[in-house]
This record gives sequence, structure tokens and C-alpha cells, in this order.
Amino acid sequence: MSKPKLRMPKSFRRKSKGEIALHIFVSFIFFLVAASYVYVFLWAVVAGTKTHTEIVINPFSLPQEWHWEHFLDVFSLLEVNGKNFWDMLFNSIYFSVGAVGLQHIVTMSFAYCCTKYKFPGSEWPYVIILIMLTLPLYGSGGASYRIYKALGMVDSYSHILSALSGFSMNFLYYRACFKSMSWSYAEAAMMDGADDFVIYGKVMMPMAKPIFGALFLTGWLGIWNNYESALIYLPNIPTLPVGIYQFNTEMVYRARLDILFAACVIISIPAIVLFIAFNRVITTNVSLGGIKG
Amino acid sequence: MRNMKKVTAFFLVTVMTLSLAACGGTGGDKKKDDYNGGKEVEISYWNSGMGTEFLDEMCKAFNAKQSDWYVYFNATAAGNAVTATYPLEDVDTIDLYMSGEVPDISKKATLDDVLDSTADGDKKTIREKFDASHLESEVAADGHYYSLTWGGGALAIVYNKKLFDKVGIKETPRTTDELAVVCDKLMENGITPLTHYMNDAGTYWDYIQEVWQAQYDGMDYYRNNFYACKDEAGNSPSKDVLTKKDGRYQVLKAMEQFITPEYVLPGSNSQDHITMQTKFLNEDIGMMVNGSWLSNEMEGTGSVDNFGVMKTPVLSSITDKLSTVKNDALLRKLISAIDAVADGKEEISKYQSGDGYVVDGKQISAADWDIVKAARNMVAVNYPQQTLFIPSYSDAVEGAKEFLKFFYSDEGYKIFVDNIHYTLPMKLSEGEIDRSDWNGFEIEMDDVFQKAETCVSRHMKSCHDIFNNGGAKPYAGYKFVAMFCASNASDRMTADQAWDYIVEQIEGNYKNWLANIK
Repeated sequence: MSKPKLRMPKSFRRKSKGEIALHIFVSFIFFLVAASYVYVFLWAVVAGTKTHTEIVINPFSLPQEWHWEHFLDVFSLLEVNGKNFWDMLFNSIYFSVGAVGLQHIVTMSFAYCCTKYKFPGSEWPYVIILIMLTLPLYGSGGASYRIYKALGMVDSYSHILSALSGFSMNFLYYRACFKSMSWSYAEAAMMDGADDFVIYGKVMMPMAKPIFGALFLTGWLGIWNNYESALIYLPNIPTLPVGIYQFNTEMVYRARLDILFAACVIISIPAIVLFIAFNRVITTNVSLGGIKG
Repeated sequence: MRNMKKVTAFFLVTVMTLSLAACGGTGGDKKKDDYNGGKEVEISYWNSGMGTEFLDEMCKAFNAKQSDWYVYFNATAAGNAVTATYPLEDVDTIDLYMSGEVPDISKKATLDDVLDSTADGDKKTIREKFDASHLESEVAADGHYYSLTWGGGALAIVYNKKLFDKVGIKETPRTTDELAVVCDKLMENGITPLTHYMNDAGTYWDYIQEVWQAQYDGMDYYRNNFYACKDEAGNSPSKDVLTKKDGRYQVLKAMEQFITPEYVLPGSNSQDHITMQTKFLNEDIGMMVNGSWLSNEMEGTGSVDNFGVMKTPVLSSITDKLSTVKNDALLRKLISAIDAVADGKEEISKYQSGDGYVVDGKQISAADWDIVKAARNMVAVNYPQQTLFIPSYSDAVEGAKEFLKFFYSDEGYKIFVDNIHYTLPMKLSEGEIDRSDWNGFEIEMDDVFQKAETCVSRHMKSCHDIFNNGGAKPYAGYKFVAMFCASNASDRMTADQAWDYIVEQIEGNYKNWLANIK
């Protein structure tokens, strides 16, 4: 009696030539895409060590002399209205971490209340946000500026309080997240004597940590790179992107592309380091077309 | 979990505390060490290549001199951002704008009293110190002054002296026909004769075109007819003025000779001015139109010492307007004679003969001498494009005016010149500017400007509103320079084709321009 043949699972089977070719082709495409990003970064690093003239005359050549000191010059040359690199770094951290943190804590709490507690109007925020997203209010900048100005939040560190709003796209993510969480965890906690705040703080919030982390990182990245709002609302509290923007604008009248590229490299480092450190948090919680609950 | 709660609590407390603490004051630490206790005067400054050092020094000197006002500034290189708050009267905190052109004068304070004041220690009023032909471009249609220049400069054709020497060009071109000959000579020796930059706003050639137009039509017609959009019968606005085959057509015919794909560096039509200036200073390129600011902008990228500045050549077709000079050879000799007299190398008596003059054995009428002399002594400027003004709703109008009086005083002006190394269209009330530490290029450019008799700029505040707010432009906004030297032959146009196209555009848009100013 012959032994029955063991059939290997499909994933363990040897790939056909076609599959291997496809695999190589797809990998090659991915490699090209990844290489294009890495190339741009490396090009900027090399450009930062060249002279302005070399960048203009021979943009793709290696420098005749490596000027690594340009990366140090950034700290003294990057200045906006008397604010130096370190002032701008502080402002960037303050507004990017603070505003995004505040916004997410408020939005998460808001979404939790509207999702898990039924009260008249608990569904209204969802509807309002959907309308807001479908019908964006163009031209609201002037009105916003006047409101913030009246509240003393223009050109002030208190501008961070403008993040205290739960009405945003993130509400939908948190809502979906809490909707998918079973209420039986809360019921079990209640039987152990937990009140509403304890349930939220000790049971529900920890379960929402992955999505919080993913949204926080992507939100932080957006604010870290945002110079438009800071230019309008914080003219005397420049952030690093504003510094780079101003420096870039000055390039219309100033021949220091070397310093510009060195500065771009320096300010992109935090984002790159954070992405490398937390890429699993982002990639495992972000699926195609949305964020996993 | 406990850690998460602690981190959250700490984070919230920290952010709230910082925010509330910051609520009391603005983040912009505007008052610096030199705060003198005076009422604040805030300046919004356009850093357009001149840096901030001169203004910083000027503010410090002003703040140290008195204690009624404290002046400080915010700088940005983004021209539009500088005046973004100007129309927002109820939220605008700016007391003095140092910006580009802002045609709307409805909310500007008049500066007539500033012009008529005499600063402490000066012997002349600011009006007397300013160049009269420049002030004509600053005066508004109602006869008042709402803005004054704080920057800009003169523009001329800059050339590479080493390359000119190398190919044996001893004298800079005096006429546009001679300019074409020089281009030929450079080309024969393997040198690219010309480069320029181009962006949405245009190119530096635009300024030289204005001079050539004014040379051909005469300054009086250029200022009081063309830019007043007024025909000979006094009708204004008049479409006939815009479509008349005047100096602009002659400019097209002249430029067609040397703005060609062979003479112009490839890429000139699509690159920014810093890139093209870098190439001009570092590659074998003969000439480029540029301005007083070249040295400041290109600091550290290449020496400008080998670069000279030529007086703007005279439009060769000016001979149409002359009765005794009918060819370019004689015109060049006449210009050489005029230059020699102006530079003090020769006495005018050497050329005087009866009612007229004799140049190279040819009789020249006095009228022709005067026309060519006036044309030769025109210089392109863009001073009216960089203007300062005080919003009339400011609560520190007087403080801003006091600062302006200091700005244009001999003391303030010296701070400006010592930092920038070029001059405004004004003189000191006594004494001369110290140029001992200027480089060769800066001195030549300043000489071209100082020796000129007439500043030419299309950015006149008194020009007809059809130009200011209507949308009309001398060449209907057509970038014929790009077309003349387009690398693609199918895009190229001749001067006649370009003129026909421009007239067509004027005919088609005239009604819209009128509607815009109603």
C-alpha cells in the first residue's frame, strides 16, 4: 500500500516561471519607486555639499570639494525675523506635537461619546462631518483669520488651541474604531465597579492605541511640513518649514542653493527617523483606502 | 495602562499651561534689546535681494536717536505676502510697507509733507535731494505723492570684459546696429553673445525696451502721450495711441537682429534670473541685461570685477527722426563725440560750428545733437517698482513719517548706500557718496546711472489708469523676446509678425481694459 502523497500548501509550492517573472517585475517596479525617493534625498545631500555655482552649472556631478560645513552653516544662516534655527525647531515641535496631540485626544473622546453613548443628537456630528467633507467651504480663510484675530490667537502660542476641534476626518476613523469594539469589555469592567471615565481611560482608549498612533504620526507629518498656515497665523513665530519656505523664496534673489538643500536635508531627518522607527505602526494600521479599526 | 494615562495627563497639562501662559502676549518677540520705550511702528519689508542689514542698521540708528517711536520690521522675500494685509483695514497692524508696486492709493497717506521736510543736519529738503525725473514717475495722477522708492536700481547691458578683450572689442556698442555687430564678432569666436532669464513677469529686456521706445519717440511723447494714452488731439484714453506704429515697432525691428536662437544661450527663455546670472558670471557669455543689485545677489558665486556696464546703445532707427544724420556710421561717431563731452574728455567747443556741430567733417544740426544727446543719456530704472507707503488707517502715521525723514536724511541714506553699494535716485544734501570699498562693477553701474540725465521707467504712478488697473501693456503682454529666439523654428516670429499680433491683441482687449477701469 503506497503512502498517500503529501500535498504542500500552495504558498509553499515552487513558483512557476511566470510567477517568478511577475515577482521580479513587480519587485523591480517597487525598487524603482523606492530608489527614486532615495535618489532625491541623496541628491539633496550631495547638493548640500557643493557650491551654488556647481549646483547650477553641473547639477548631477559630484562636488569638486565636499563642503560638509554647509550643514553647520544652516544653523546660523537659516533665520526668519530674528528667529534662529533652534527657535524654529522649538516652534515646530510645539505646534506639530502639541496641536496634533490635542486634536486627537479631543477627537477620540468626542467620537467615543457619540459612538458608545446614545443621547439625542449623538449621530448629528457624524452627519455634520460628512456634509463638511462633501461640501468643503472654499474661501473661509478670511473669516477664520478674523475669528482667530479676535480671539488673540494670531501670532500667539495660544494658536495651538485652534486644534481643539473634534469635527474632522479623524472623527470618522475613531467612530469606526469604537463601533467595532465590543461593549462587553465595558460591561465586564462595570461589574468590577469601574465608572465611565475608568472604562474609557483603562479599557477603550488602550484598545484604540494603534489607530491613535497611526493617525498621530500621519497628522504630525502633515503639520511638521505645513508652512502655509504658519505663514498666515504665526508670522512672528516661524516654524522650520516656514524658515525653509522663506529661505527658498529668498533664493529668487539670493544665490545660496547649497544652503537651501542642506537645510532641506536637515529638516527631513526627524520625519525619516520617525517613519523608520514607527513604520510598522503606520503600515500595519493603514490598509488600502482607510485605516484598520 | 497607568503609564498611558500619566503620559496623556502630562501632555495635556503641559500643552494647556503653555497655551494659557502664551495667551497673554504674542509670540513674536518684536521688541529687541534696543527698545526705547516709544510707540511701535511696524514695517513689512520685501527682502528682494538687498538683504536686511541696511534696514536693521537704520532702525537701530533711528531708535537710538529718539524715544517717541520704536521702529521694527518683518521681512519676507515673498512679494505678495508683504502687502497681503494692506486692504484689511480693521486687522492690519502694519504702519509702513516697503514693498513692490501697489497701484491702489485709496488707503495710502500722502507723503508730500515728508518730501518737503528737511532732516536734522541736512541743508536741502528731501524733494530737492531727489532726482527730478524720478519724482515725475512717483507722482500720482492727482498731483500728490503716496509712495516713494526705497530700492530697485538702474538697469543696463552688463558685459564680460575679459571676453570682449579676447575678441578685440575695444569699444562698447553705441547703437543697436553696432550691438548686432558685436554679437556677430563674439559668435565668430565661439562665445555665446547673450543670455537673459524669463518668468511670468517678463525679462530684464523689458526695461531696455522702454529706453529704446523713449529714445525714438522722445521723452515728452513717451510720458505725456503714450503712457497718458492721449492722442495728439488730446483724446484720452485713445486706442490709436496704443496701436500706432511708434517706437515699439522700432524696438521690435532692432531686437530682431540680435535676439536670435544663434546669439542667445539655450534655456534663457525658461530659467530664473539667479540661475542665468550664475551662468553669466561663470561661463563664456558676452552680455546680459542686469541691474545694480547683481553684485549683492550673486555674492560668493563668482567675481563681478571682470564685468563692465555699458550705456544703453541708441536705437539705430532714431535716424528717422534726424535731418542731418542718416546712417549708423555717422550716428556712432556723433554718440562718441557726445560721450567724450559728457565724460569731460573733450570740450564741446571742439564740435561747435555756427548754429550746429561738426562731427567727422559732417555738419550736424543742433536739434539732432540734442535728440541724440537726450537719447544717449537715458537710463532704465525700476525704482518706482519698489516703493514704500504708509496706510492712512495706521495709528502710527506720524511715527512712520518720522522714520521716512530719517531714511532719506543724509545720515540714513549713507547707511543705505554703505550696505547696498548702489544709490537711490537722490543725492546727499552736501558731499559725495563714499565709494572707496565698492567693486568695479558697482562703480561702473553707478556711473552709468549718475551720468544719465533721464530715468526711464514704465512704472509711472501718473500713467493712465488703463495701464495701472486696466490691464493694458505696451506690447499687450506678448513675450516677443521668447519668440525671436525660440529654439523651435515653428514658434519663431519676425518683428512684423509680432507687431501684427500685438495690434490684434490690443484691438481684441481694448474694451476689456476700458471696462476694468470704469
